[in-house]
Amino acid sequence: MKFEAEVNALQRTPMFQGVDPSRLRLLAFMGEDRTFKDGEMVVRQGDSSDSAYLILSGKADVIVEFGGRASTVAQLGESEVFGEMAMLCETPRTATVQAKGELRTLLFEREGMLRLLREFPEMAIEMSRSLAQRLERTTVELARLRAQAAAPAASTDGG
Amino acid sequence: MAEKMTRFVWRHSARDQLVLLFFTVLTFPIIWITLELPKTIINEAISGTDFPKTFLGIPLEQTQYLIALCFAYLLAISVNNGVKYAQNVQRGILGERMLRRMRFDLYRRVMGRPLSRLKGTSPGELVQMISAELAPIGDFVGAIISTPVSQGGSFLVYLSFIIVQNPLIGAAALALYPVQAWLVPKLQARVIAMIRIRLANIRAMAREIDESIDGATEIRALRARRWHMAIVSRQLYDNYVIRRRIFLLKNLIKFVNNVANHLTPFFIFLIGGWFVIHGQLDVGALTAVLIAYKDLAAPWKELLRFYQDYSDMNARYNSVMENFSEDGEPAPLLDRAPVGPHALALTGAPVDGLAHPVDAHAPKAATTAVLAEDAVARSSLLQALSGLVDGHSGDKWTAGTPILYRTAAYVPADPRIFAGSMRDNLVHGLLFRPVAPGDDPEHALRRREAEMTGAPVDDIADQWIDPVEAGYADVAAVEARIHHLVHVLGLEDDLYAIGLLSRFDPEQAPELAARLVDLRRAIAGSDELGEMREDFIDHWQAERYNTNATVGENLFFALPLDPALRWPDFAEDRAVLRALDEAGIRGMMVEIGLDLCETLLSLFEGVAADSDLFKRYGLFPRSETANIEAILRLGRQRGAEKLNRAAQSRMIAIAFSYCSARYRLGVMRGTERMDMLLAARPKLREFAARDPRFAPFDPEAFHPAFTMAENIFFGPVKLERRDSWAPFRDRVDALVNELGLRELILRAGMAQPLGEAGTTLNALQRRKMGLARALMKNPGALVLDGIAAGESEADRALRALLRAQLAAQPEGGALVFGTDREAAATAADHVIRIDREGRTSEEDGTGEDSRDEPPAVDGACDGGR
Repeated sequence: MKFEAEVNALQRTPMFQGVDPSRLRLLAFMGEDRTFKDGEMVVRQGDSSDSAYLILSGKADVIVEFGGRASTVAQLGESEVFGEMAMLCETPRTATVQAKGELRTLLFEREGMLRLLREFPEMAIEMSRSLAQRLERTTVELARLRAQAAAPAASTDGG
Repeated sequence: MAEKMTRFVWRHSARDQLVLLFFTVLTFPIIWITLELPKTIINEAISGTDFPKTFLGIPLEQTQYLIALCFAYLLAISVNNGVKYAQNVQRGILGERMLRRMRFDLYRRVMGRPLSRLKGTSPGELVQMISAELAPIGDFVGAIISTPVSQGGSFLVYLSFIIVQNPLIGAAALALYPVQAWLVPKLQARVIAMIRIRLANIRAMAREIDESIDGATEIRALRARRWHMAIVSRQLYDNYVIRRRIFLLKNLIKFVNNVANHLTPFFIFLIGGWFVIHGQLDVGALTAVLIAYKDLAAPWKELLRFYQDYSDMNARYNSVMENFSEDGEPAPLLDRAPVGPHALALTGAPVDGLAHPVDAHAPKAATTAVLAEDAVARSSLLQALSGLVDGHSGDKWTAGTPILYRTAAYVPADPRIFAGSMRDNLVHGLLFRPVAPGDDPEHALRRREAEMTGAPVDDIADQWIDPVEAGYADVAAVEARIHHLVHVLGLEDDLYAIGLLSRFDPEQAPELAARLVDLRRAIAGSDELGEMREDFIDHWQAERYNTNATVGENLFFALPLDPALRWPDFAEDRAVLRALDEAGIRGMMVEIGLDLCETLLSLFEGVAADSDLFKRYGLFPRSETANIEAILRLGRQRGAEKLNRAAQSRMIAIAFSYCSARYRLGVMRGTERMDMLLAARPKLREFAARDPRFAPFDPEAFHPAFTMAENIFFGPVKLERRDSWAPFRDRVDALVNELGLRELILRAGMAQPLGEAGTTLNALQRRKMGLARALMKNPGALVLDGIAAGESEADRALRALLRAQLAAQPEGGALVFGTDREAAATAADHVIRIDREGRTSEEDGTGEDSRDEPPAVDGACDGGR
């Protein structure tokens, strides 16, 4: 079955590791295929959001616009998830994601996901764990960047 | 209507009842004749002597005399029955008219209830009362006078005939009736008591059902479903118990009646026979007595039944009327508006939810904010300002001339969308009263019926919109305003989308259908658009399987003509099954169905029984799981052909609804099965073409079961490209615009029914429609309750936009909005403040809000809390 391949992709995703395979099959079934050609926007920064994406194959650039300037902050590849924050709360998209080359994804709508999470709370625990890990990494990185930004100012002052 | 039933009936149908009475009285002499003739036939014709006798002046021999008398008897019977027919028809018509009158009266009383009481009314209970409970009363009413008269009269006629023959026999015949007349009312009283209890029980059940549905979310959340089911179960049980008792009592009455009936002939034979033997009575008379006695049973039964029905109906009637005894006419809405400097004003007015009487006003051509923390108090004041008060005296307002319904337009946060199209909703505020009669031939007939049944003569086919009174130059100006408001409030794109998703009958609009097909060809033929179409649309091709459509559509390459039906609805149709057989794929369809069910069941195995997941993602309802499992077991063990027809049809129906791109369950086994389905397509397509219920897909023709969008693209949008097709869609929209089709599509969208309570629309769209509807009334003041209630940019933009729309009013329109944000309130021109104790005070604001420029049309109006 085509969606067996998708189940495998889900299993390789850090966020869904530790989740029961039968739940993953259900999750894969509930997902919808979305394919994008090179350069097409998957999501745009600032749009209202109600879905998350799992990359099945291909690559995507993550672009953030700040103060009028757009810069690519990351590149995502197979088995990576983006937009998952939209599943849990109604925040606008924090970045634009653009396909680089042919991109195949699996889309999960919030409604369905929430229903699934209500059914199988252990999935929610796994997802929260993975989000918490990501938050931890982000915090560490932020602290490092702050320290870096403070250090040259200190040196110019002193210089 | 709070009078007794008989009085009510007499008052409204006296004349018809008298006509009925006339027919009834007419039958009495005829009945006498039908009694006399048999006696004469036996005595004079059969055992008579002394011929020839004269009949109607003609002398006849014995046999001829017999024949003549027999035919006379036949004639009498026929006339009797003819009159009875006329009676019954008249009775039915009378009853129906009465019923209509009663039902409408109830409805009118309900609509006249004060708003506060109306909100507490259970619609389920009311519907039950108006339709089910009143129905038998209507049937009964037609007979309320005629039945006792006709049956009682017949009874007396038969009885007199018997007594005339021989008083003693008459006494014997009469003997047991008084006994029944005493016993039956006693039993009947018990029945009435039971009926009242039953009615209360049914009403409670209706209320409970209503509550279960209304509070469904809460019940689920509280996991109290079984409790509620137990309540209804108990109510049904109680109902059964009561009905059983009623049933037993009613049959007891019948039993008493029957016993009496059969006892009396015994007396007649005894006494009558004795008299005949002793020569005081002739055989003919005895026979006639027996016939008369047999005939006596029927009117007596009818009288008894009438008596039971009468008590029954009276009980019902009183039971229903108890709920409406205090309802009068609705308090008339104020038809005057204040003159002077203000758009809206209240002086010393008691307002629901506020402790003290209120003095407040909203100045003209300005923005007023009602500031309060308590949302309920805010709503009350806003509604009071709009004139939506329950019961008032006229002295709170000063005299004025504009009609109030136009002066204030109140819009709540979630406006109610009524059944009908968008256009129907937008002009709703202009439907005050009919201004000109419609011109269809049945108009006069409907009017006469309405007058005869106490219903209003307002007809929905009349013209209800008076452009001039509503502030428009003419009808065309009204239409133009509708389109303008749709545009300005940002509903146009929604309307366009609704229009594209609508269907229409090509016979009704052949030109539009032809142009849409032209557009289709233009897109397919264009290099650029054609290529984009290939990318984004899975358009129908005869030799290719469409993975974005269902199996049914792929097989037959057609759809049922009726847009409400799809292929799964035809899985039990003989012709369809035969066609599948002939194409040799019926077995495979059943197999596909079985595979699907197996996979789905395994996928959803761990899911809880009352989860929504199944509903959203499954192919059959959760409740059917047991049935499907049984079919699956049988099918796998013994083979698909061993399944019975119903099971096979169920599997075929499920197979028909499978869409590869959506479900991706791999039942197509790569392309193996797809190829087989494609191979069967030519035969099945031919079958569909021949059957008038289906319409095949034709690239050159408009398909009535496709939406407009599907007709333009000739196929569904590819699921996997759905997120990226915006550029293509925009190009097509531009083309639609160029070709001048946008207008037509918008109009189609305008006329499309919106579904119950506007459920096809989201909250934002409903709100925009509520605003458009209010603005259509050309109100002197627009009152917003829960819309644009804050200080965000979006809220301020919306307020500016609405102000711009109101500015066209002759004296400048006033905008009133409720808010709980101090900053938003003080930016208005005028502020009405409600404090925690419910006291109001007024002050001036800074007027900053009014200086905001209305936004450019695109992008307006998407905010508002």
